[in-house]
Amino acid sequence: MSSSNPISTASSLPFRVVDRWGKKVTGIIDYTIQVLLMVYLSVRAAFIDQAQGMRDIVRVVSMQIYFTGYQAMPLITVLALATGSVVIMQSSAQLSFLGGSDMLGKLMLIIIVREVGPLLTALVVIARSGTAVASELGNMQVNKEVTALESMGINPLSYIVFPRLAGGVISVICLAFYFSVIALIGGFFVSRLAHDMSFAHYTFTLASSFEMNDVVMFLLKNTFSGVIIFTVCCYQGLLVQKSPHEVPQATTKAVVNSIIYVIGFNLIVTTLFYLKNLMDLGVV
Amino acid sequence: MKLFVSPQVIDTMSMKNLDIGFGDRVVINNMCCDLPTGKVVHVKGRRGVGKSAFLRVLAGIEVPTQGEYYINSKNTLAMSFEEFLEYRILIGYSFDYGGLIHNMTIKDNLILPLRYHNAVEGWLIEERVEYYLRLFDLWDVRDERPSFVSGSMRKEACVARAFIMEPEMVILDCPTVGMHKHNIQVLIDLVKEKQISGNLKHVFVASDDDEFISSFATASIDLDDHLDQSIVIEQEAA
Repeated sequence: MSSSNPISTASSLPFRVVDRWGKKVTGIIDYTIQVLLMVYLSVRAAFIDQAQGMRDIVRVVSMQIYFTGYQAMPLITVLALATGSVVIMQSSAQLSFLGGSDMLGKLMLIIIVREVGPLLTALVVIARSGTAVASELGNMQVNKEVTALESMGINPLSYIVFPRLAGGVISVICLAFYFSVIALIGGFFVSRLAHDMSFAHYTFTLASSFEMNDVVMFLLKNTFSGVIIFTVCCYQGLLVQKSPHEVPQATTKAVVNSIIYVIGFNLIVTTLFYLKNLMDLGVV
Repeated sequence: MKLFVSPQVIDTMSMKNLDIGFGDRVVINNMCCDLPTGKVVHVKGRRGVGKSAFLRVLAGIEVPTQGEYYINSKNTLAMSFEEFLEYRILIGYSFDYGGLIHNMTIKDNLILPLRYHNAVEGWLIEERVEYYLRLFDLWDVRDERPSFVSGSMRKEACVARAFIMEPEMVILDCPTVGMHKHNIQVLIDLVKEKQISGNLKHVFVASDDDEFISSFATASIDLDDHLDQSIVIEQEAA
């Protein structure tokens, strides 16, 4: 009897696999909608709150910029110098074999400004500040601090989420710019012994290869990386209910989700960008 | 200086078919009552009956599973955060534990609502905060963060913060637990003084401290009877 039951048939293996994947996909869509909704609500709350406590919001934004941006500069410097010098050394050696050393500037801009810079900066920010934000908010939930803000008539979305989001986005853009400058210029001097290119020629190739598309892609990737990191981390932190044991779980989930979303977003932007380039060239 | 929101006067409060629960566990079931106003109301009931949850709903910081909560005949549960702000700003709330912002000093915790809502002039903020800090004997630890002071000081700071906006209604969840005996008397005197001056109209207290309650409570709500779908409201002579 059970084999003729349509419900039982539906629970056979292929359907169960489809069910499982369906649940996963709807789960991801639901999560993304929740996160985007939080961005909207926090920005809305901050604008409604404009007259009230703007000084407090500005204070938290500046603190966030200090912790996320300024304090991450030494680590970013080391990473940028290492990345820049390695890419210059490898590229200049390979390009000189092919007789295309004039292409170095273009290659550096594509690798550093468009791809590696935004991604490495985002990873550093996730590791340093994303974890801090998620665990801070988780602990605030456990200590009833978020409820306390509500009881005082302070909207946690405008007081906690928005300043972290705004400060985080500004910090990510500034850090990625700093990363790119250090990698492009500092990397050249660090790898000076490994190539014989003059600095004037190098800067000329950089300047002549610079396009508006580099700026667009740089701003697009870094702005949205900042939004993704700080919204996901705030969201996960605020999901903590009452127990301290939820805080490390929320932090881990915040890091994993941020990395997945940032990498996914960067991949999509790069793919779309190069598809557009190919379409402009008439290849696709 | 002027508050950015226009506070309303709380005249009546009532609950209709209110359920409060955590997950599948319902702690308050189908509560229908008009809440006593203008009194010091003792919210009583055995442990786990939902006294704290009830007080949080009263303060608008917890959403019940279902039902309606009216202030001045307006359903507050249908209001947005901004709409309820007109009432919330009139309510001071003291938590049973926690509730202080840990990355701020004790003094800044008291300053926060005043400054955020632009409640009073800068010099008046300092004056008012100093008054409450000295009243609860917290002046010496004003620049310490909550984690660096004793539990009783944290409790006293939380209670002091509930009064800092000069609210019309104060909700105190187990205020005497961990509080120094001297400061319990200070709290009783403060409530009486504020009531006489007319600033404080409604007080809701959940506490098992009989001596404390008997010294100033004028009405009570018994949550033990919630499963019978009735709330016994004992109105005593004010």
